[in-house]
Parts: sequence; structure tokens; C-alpha cells
Amino acid sequence: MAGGGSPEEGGDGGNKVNILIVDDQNENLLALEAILQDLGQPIVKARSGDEALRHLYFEEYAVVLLDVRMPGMDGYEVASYIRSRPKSRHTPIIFVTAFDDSMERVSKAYSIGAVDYIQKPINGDVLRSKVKVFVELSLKSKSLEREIAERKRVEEELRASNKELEAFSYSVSHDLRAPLRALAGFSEALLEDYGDRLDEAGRTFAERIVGGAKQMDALILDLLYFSRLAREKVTLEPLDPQVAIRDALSLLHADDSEVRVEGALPPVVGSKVLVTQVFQNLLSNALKFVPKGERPIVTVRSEKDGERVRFWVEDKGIGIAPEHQERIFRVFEQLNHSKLYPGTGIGLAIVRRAMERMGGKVGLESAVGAGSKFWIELPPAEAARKSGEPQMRPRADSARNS
Amino acid sequence: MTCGPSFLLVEDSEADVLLFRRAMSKAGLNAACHVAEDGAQAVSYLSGEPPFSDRTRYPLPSLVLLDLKLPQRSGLEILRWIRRNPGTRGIPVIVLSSSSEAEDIQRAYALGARLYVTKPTGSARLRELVGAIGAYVADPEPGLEKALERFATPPAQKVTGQARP
Repeated sequence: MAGGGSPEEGGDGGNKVNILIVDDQNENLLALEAILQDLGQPIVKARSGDEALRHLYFEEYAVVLLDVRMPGMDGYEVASYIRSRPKSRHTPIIFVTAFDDSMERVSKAYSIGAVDYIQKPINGDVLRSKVKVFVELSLKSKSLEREIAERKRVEEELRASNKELEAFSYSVSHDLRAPLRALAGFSEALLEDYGDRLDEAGRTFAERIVGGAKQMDALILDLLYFSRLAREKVTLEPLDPQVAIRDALSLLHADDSEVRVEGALPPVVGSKVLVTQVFQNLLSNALKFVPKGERPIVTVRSEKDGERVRFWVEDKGIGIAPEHQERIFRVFEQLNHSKLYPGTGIGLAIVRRAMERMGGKVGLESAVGAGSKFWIELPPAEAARKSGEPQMRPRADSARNS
Repeated sequence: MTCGPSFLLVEDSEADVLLFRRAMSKAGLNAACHVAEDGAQAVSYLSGEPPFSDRTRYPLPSLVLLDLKLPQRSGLEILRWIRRNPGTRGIPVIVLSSSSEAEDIQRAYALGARLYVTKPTGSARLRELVGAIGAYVADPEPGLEKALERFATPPAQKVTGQARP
């Protein structure tokens, strides 16, 4: 009960540690108990070595106060049993010795495994401070244990939810795409094989089915990619951004537009696949978001300030108002009407996650009507080479853990 | 009846089979396409067990197209069986799956798939794929990898995205 005061029942379990006092004389036990009561921890009394060992078998103790001279099993013998058991191997023992005990006995006590000793007649303050040290030590290690257990639990939960996510992705990949394939495939077949027997409205309806199914498939693929991006291993290595940009452009339809790469772009450390993907998404946006009928003009350039290389992808397109500039990096955010600018709304979320996985950054400068300047930052390749491994390690590790 | 080039499509989805057959006729493909609806049927077919014991009607294919997600015995199990069975060991297997998950891709290649192809959505690309398969079955000389270069996902590819049109 609250304020009840019986220390042995110390209920909350978290902030209490037990103290064991061992002496064959009842009045000694009572005296020790009186001295240690102020520490506010449960005190367990044992009148013999046997009884002490029994307690130690069932409970953990912060410290044992052990009288050396006891009939039957003496303090030394009890101490060596305590040390021989795995559960109490590290339990601190303070020997309580008689005033006339020789140094020889004291050193024997240490050799058996005492951490300290105190002589009778006992000075209450001294004993209290000695025991307090071990009580605090034990409390601290208990709270550490709790912390470790908590961390383990969180890790376990994370692992479990990761597993679940994987299973979810698996079923989305396999099962959700199949009916979409049928939708897109058969509505296209309908148009191709029977289009001439449909009137204008009929054909439009079928085209809408094709468009919807394909849009949904693109969404599913982008979402799967986005979730995979969080789970899969990322390998960081020196790479040539020119190659990444060339590969990215080859996957885009940029024939009727102008993409200028200014100057030589310095090599950086990143994942080839991810950097290509990032450029692909940024370039695709730069080419897409221009006023209708205008020819897109995109510039790629770089800046270097020793520790980071910043690449700019600049367009002269419709621009993004400052209040929307954070939102666009989230999944499914589309600022513009999808009729004018079709897309899945996942591209920039993929860019941000990919940059995070590589230990890099992404940002932009833009205003409505003034075009957009997106930038990404990565560490330069030669800095990693000059100072060797240590520079690359933390980044590679942090990426692996996330 | 002469035994021209043929291939075996292991696919449980009727819709996919229908779309595949349509793409074949659109692509003007002459090779015979036999269909196994599940893993057990694929094993029976390839072993020449009844009802597939007539090798004139059910010839040993020069190529197997294998779906991964099949009822009962999975595509990967069938793949392992094909690779271990002396009678089928030499037949190249293309895994044709909905999934572009790295795990599926890696396991398929680890078990001996020659190529991993993600099923295309939309008739135009399916027709191109079927055309490329047909060209390979008719003339395997340039090699399977070359023939399906544009469709296959290579092994050991890490995080990858789909090419966005």
C-alpha cells in the first residue's frame, strides 16, 4: 500500500534492489537493519550460510553483508559458494569482521571475492555509504537492462512490421497487378479488334478503361518501388554523374526538348542505380511542367564546396509556390491538375528517400512562373579516396541500417 | 505431322493465357504454344506422362515460360525440378512474373532461370515480347539474352525502378 513502509513488499519492482544481511546473532541483524533502513531498499535477513545461499538462489541481491564468524558454514565458505554459482557470481560481498581480526583474514576475504569489508563495532554512516554505492550501481544496471530489453522489443517489432510490409509488397506485386493486366489488356483488345464496331462514345469509354488501368499500374509500381527503397540494401561507390544523366535521359522522351549540361560534373559517392533514378525523376519533372505548347529547356550544373557536391536541375517551367515546396516531397502529392500534367505523385518522394538512403540531401528554389531549380547534394568521390575508408564508412553504415 | 518449334507456357491465369494467345496471333507467331495450368501439369507434360505421353502432339518444348505464383507447387519449385531432371535440364526457362521484387528475381536466377521478365501491362508491349520470344524459338542462334534484352530484368540488380514512359 502507498506509504505502508514494509520494504520487502516494495511492489513497483523497477526502482528497488534487495540487500542481504547474514549474521548468526539476531541482535546484529537488527542493528544492521536499523543502519540500512534509510536506504529505502528491501532488506532480507539470514541467520546462517545455508539460509543466505537459499535466498541467493531465488532472488537477485544488490549486495551481501556477510559475517565472517558463524557456526557451521563460516563466511569464507559461504562466499566461495556465492562465487561458484552463475546467478550470484557477480554479487558484491562486504565482509563484516571482528575488531581483532588479523590482516591475514582480511586478505583471505578479498582473495575469496569480497569487494570490501567493515570491522565491528560498526560505524553506521560508513556502512551506509558503502552499501549505498552498491545499491546505486545495481539500480543503474537494472535500468540499463530495462533499456536494453526495451530496445530489443522495439527492434523485434520493427523486424516484424518489416516482414509484414514485405509480405504486403509481395502480395501487391503478384496479386494486385494481375487483374489490372486483364483490365488494360482486354480493353485494349476490345479497341483494337472491335473498335470499328463501336461508336465515338463507346471508344472513349474503352479508352478510359485502358487509361485508368495503366494509371493504376503505374501507381502500384511507383509505390512498390518507394517501399522497396526503404528496405533494400544500398551500395555506395564513386560514380560519374554524366553517365547517370545520360542513362536517365535515355529512359525519358526528351527529343523535342533541350537539356544542357554545363561544364564537367565532378564524380560523387552514391548508388549508381539511385542517382540515375533521382536524375530521371528530376529531369522528367523539369521536362513535364512547362506551360502548354512550350518547348522545355533544362539546365544541369554543379557546385562544389569541398565536402559536398551540389547538382542543380533547372527549368524555365511553371514553378512552385513557396507554400507548396515542402508538400511536393510527400507521397501522392500533386499540385497540378493530372489532366494537364499526368503522373503518380510519387516521383519526388522517391527522390527524397533515395537521397536519404545515400546520405545526401535534396531541395529547391522556385516561384510561380519563374521556373524551378531542384538541387541534390552528395559527397565528392575524391574526398572519399583521399582520406580513405573512414570518410565513407559512416554514411554507408547509416544507409544500411535505415 | 512434323514437330516444329514449340514452347510451354506455365500459367494459371486464364486471362493471361488468353492475352498471350491473342498477342501470338497478332504477332503472327507460328510456334506451337502448349499451356500447363499449374505446376503438377507442367511436370506431367515435361515428363511425358499421361495425358501428355504422345510426344508428337505434346513435344518437348524448346523453351519454358514459367509464372511464379501458381496454385499448390510454386513456380520456383517447378524451376528447381526442371533444372534437376535430366530430361529437362537443357531447356531454358524464362520466368514470366507480375513481380518486380528483388527477392523473386534473385531466387529465380539462383535456381537457374535463364531470364526474368516482368509481365507487361498493355497489349503493345506484350505483343513485342511475344514477337521476340517467337523470333528466338524460330531461330535460337542469337541467344536468348540478346533476343529478350529489352524485356528482361538482369540478375543481381539492386533497388530498381521501372522505366517510366
